[in-house]
Amino acid sequence: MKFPSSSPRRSGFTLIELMVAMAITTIIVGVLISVTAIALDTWTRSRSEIRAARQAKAMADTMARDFEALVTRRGNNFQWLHAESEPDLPGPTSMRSSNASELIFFTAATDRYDGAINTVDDRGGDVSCVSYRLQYQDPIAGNETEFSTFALYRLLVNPDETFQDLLGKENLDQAFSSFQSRLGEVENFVCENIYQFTITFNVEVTQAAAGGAAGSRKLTVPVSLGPGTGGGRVDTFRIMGTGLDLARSPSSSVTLDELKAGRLASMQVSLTVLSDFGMEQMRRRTFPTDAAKAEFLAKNSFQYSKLVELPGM
Amino acid sequence: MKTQSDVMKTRGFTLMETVIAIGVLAVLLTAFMAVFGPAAAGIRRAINVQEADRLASTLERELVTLRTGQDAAGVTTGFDKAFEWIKTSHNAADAMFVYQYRGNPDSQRPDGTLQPVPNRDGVPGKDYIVQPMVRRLSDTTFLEDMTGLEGSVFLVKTTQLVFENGELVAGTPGQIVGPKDGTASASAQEYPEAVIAFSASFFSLPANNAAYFTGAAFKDRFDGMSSPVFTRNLAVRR
Repeated sequence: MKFPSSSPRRSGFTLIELMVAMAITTIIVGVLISVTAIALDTWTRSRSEIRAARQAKAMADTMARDFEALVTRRGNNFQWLHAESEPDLPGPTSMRSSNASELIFFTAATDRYDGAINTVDDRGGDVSCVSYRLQYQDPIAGNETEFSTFALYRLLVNPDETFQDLLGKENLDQAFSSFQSRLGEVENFVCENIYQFTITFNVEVTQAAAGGAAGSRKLTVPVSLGPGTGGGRVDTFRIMGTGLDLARSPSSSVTLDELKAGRLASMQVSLTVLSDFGMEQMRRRTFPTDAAKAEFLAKNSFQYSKLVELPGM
Repeated sequence: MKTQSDVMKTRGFTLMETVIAIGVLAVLLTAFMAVFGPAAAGIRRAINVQEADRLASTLERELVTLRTGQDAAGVTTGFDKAFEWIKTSHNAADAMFVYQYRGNPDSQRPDGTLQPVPNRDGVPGKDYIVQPMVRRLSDTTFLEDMTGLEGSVFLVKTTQLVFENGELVAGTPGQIVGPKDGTASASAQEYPEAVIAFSASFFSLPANNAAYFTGAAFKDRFDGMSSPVFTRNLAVRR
């Protein structure tokens, strides 16, 4: 039998109680979700930043090592370095790279003969030719597939072949053309997701004091490689046995002849690394305007630069 | 018939129980945040160290590059500049900074550096090129460059390395001496050797707006900096 007094107790929660409980639950769940979202966001961002930094380090360090041991000799007609802005930038039309250069030069690389120096595999010599190029392909398959990305390649030509075919040529680019097909091979892969890289050579120019006064002053002129021949960029830069060779002076305060007689002091590489997410999106998306593309790049890429001091000629 | 204990069972949670439940939740949340915070800070630090390491070669090169407008009485060569900068890097007014900024390749300053590009709405490699740079606070171009800053800005304090019992050790900040005999050199001309070895400490800065770098507040912050993110031994040559 039911007691009248016990029946209200067994009727469950009141509407007010339920609403208060639900409100509290909502607040707790809301806090939890926002904390998790922030944590996940930071995690993703840090992960892509670390990954990009690793790619950039691989590229900058490899290039820095080769450029620090750059080999050039004065007093001859030979070409020692060939740097040319790519006339056909890598990548499909919708996501073409904004700048890349082809580099061919001589260096005292320690990984010649696959590092087997002073063993039976060492076929003599210590001047190797290296070449760098950015290509749009799948780094694992070695050709263009649906997983293609901007991959940087470095080809090292061993000293014996360098001596035979490349050293002491007046046109290094032409002499290198027979090695060109080897460049994009899988084992020459350095790093991926390099959207663009810009090479700048800093040339130290000694200029006579103005107005015929005694003394001279030194100026440092940056020469960047890039598409478009106007403004501060040039499309080719060469080191010949007779001095520097380029088509025009990018600085208004230095004449072309002064620049050609200058001393190459340092080299600088500025690169843009896309995040994996950015790369994936770029493959799928088309951008209506350049501004939309620039905005996307600003959000999904990381910028790095490294300066390398060069040995004297 | 219901007993007293049956009634108790259907009454729901007591205040005590609820408080304990919330307490447990709070402890869990705090623990999570306590682990997450340092982890995020650790990642940031690792990235900063890598960046400072990459910029160290720029510091070494830029110290011996005498640019237009940086020459003064007694400072006529790159080595003179390096001597002066290494010596004065412990004065807040001459604070030295290493950073990257977006430079406009089509617009060079008279000193051979590129004009900064303030906004990021261009395409890298086409509209701007990221430049590594070293400048002092006393140089007005520094604050100009900050408008195009890319990444972090590092404050650098340099201390000469001198010989002591055949080992290279840090000398006195703000002073350059002959590394072997210990006699103080007032200028680069008096300095007896061809090489100045120095240790460069990189400090990461929390802000990069103009207000941060001005006034007595900056001097206090500058003097208070004692734990660098990265230290590297470098050298400049005559």
